[in-house]
Amino acid sequence: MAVTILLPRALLPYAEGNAEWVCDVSCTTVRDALAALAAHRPALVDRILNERGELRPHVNVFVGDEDIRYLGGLAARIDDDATVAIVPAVSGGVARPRRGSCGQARRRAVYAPPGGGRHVDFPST
Amino acid sequence: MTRAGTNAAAAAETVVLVGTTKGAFFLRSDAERDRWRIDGPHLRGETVYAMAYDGRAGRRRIWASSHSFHWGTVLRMTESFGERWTPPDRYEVKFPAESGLALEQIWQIAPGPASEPDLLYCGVQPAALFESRDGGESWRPVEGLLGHEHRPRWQPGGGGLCLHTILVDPTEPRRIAVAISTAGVYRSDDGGATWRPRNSGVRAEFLPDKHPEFGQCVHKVVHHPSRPGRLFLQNHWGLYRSDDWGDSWHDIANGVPSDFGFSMVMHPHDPETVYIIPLESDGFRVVPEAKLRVYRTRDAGASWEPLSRGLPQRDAYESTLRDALAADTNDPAGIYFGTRSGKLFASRDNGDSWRCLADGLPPILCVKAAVVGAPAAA
Repeated sequence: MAVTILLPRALLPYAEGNAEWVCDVSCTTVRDALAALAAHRPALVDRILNERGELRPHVNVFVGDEDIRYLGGLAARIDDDATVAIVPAVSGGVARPRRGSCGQARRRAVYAPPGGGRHVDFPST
Repeated sequence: MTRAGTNAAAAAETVVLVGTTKGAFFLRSDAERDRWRIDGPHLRGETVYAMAYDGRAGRRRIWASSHSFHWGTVLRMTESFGERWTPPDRYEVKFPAESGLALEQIWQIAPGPASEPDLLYCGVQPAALFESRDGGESWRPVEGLLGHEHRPRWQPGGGGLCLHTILVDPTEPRRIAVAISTAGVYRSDDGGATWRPRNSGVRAEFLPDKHPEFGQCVHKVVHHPSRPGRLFLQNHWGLYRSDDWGDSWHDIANGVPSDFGFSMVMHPHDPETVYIIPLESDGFRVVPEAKLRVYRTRDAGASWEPLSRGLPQRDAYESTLRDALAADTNDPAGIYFGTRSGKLFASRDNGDSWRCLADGLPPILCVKAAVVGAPAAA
C-alpha cells in the first residue's frame, strides 16, 4: 500500500507528464507526502507550496473527497493507501494546452497569424 | 511608407515589450517605426508585471515576470522573441526560509551596468531587492535591505508592499537607489550593504507627519545615464526633482493639471526631458478632464507642456500604471504607453504626435522599449 498523489494537467510538465505519483516512503501527513514528492520533483512542489512551506492560496488539496482545510491543513493525517489530489481552485484559470502536453500556450492566437504576426501601419502625420 | 536603409544603425530593430494581465506581447519595427508587427500573447494567461530587455555583451534577452494565479511567480527569459522560453523549472527568486517571507510578485527587472553584464536586479513584493551575478541563473536577496531596521514599519500601498524601481549609477555601480511603496526612496552607496532613506522634501499626504524620514508612497523615479545623480520622482501626490542622488527633493509640479500619477520616463538623449501622464486624483484615477494627455518637460521640471496630438480628447477615462510608459533610444525618440483599458499608443517624434498601435489588448501593466542590435545603454 502506498500514498498516491494526483496532479492537475497544468503541473504535468514538471512530472514528466505523469498525472499521478506513488509515494515510495511512509507518510503520515499530507506534509510528509509533499515532502516526499519534493525530494523527487522539487519544481513541482515549488508550485504547490511557497518558500515558507505554506500551501499557495489558490491551490486546493484533497484527501479522498475532503479538502484538507477541514482536516487540519498540511498536518492532515493520511492512511498509507490514501489518495491525495492537487487541484487548482476555481478562482482562476489556466491556458488550455495543445495536443497533450507541457502546458505550452497556443502561440498563434490573437495577433500571430501564419507568417508571424499581423501588421499595423503607422501613418505619416 | 518609408523603410529603413541598409546601414548598421538603420538595420537595428525597435522592439516594444508589453506586459498585460493575460500575457506578453511584442511589437517590432525598423528604425522608421512606421510599420509594426505584433506578436502574442506569450506566457498565455499569466500576469506579466515586469519586462526588460538586456542587450549587454551581445545578448538579445527579453526577461519577463510571469505570475500564475495558482502556481506563483517565476522569472522567464527568451532569446528568440518568445519562440522558446527558459523552462520555469525551480523558482530561483525566493526568500530564504529564515526571513519568514514568501514571494508574491516581481515588479521590476533591471539589468545592471554595461560594465557588469552578468549582473541583474529584480524588485519584488514583499519589498525586497534580489540580485543575480550569473546572468539570471541564480538569485539572492540583497541582505542589507532585507534586514533593514525600517522594514517592520513599511506599509503596503494599494498594490501591495512592492519594490518597483531600481536605479543603478552607471559611473559608480556600488550606488543603487530603489523605491518602495510605501516606504519611499532608499539608497545604498556600498553595493547594497547599507541603505539610507532619501526622502527629504517629499510629502506624505496620508500621514499626520507630512515629511517623515520614510513612509512616502513613491510611484516612480527615473534618471538619465548621462546625469545619474539627477532624479525625477512621481509621488502619490507630488512631482519632485533631486540633483544630489535623492539627498534633497524639490517640487517641480509647475503647470501640470494634477501632480498625482504613476507613469514617468526619461527622454533617452536629453537629461532635461521627462514625460509623465497625470491622473486626476487618488480617488479618481483617470486622466484629468477625460483628455488623454502626456506631459513633457524639456527644462528639468521648470515647466510642463501637454502632448495631445493624436490622443483622444473626449470621454477618455483612461489610466496608466507606473511602468506603462517607455522610450526607445532612437533619434527622434519613440515614446510608448499602455492603458489599463488595453490601448497601446506610440509616438515616433519625441511625443509630439501619437497613434494607437493596438486597441483591445488585456489591461496593460508594463511597457518597455529597446533598440535591438544597438549598443547597450550604460
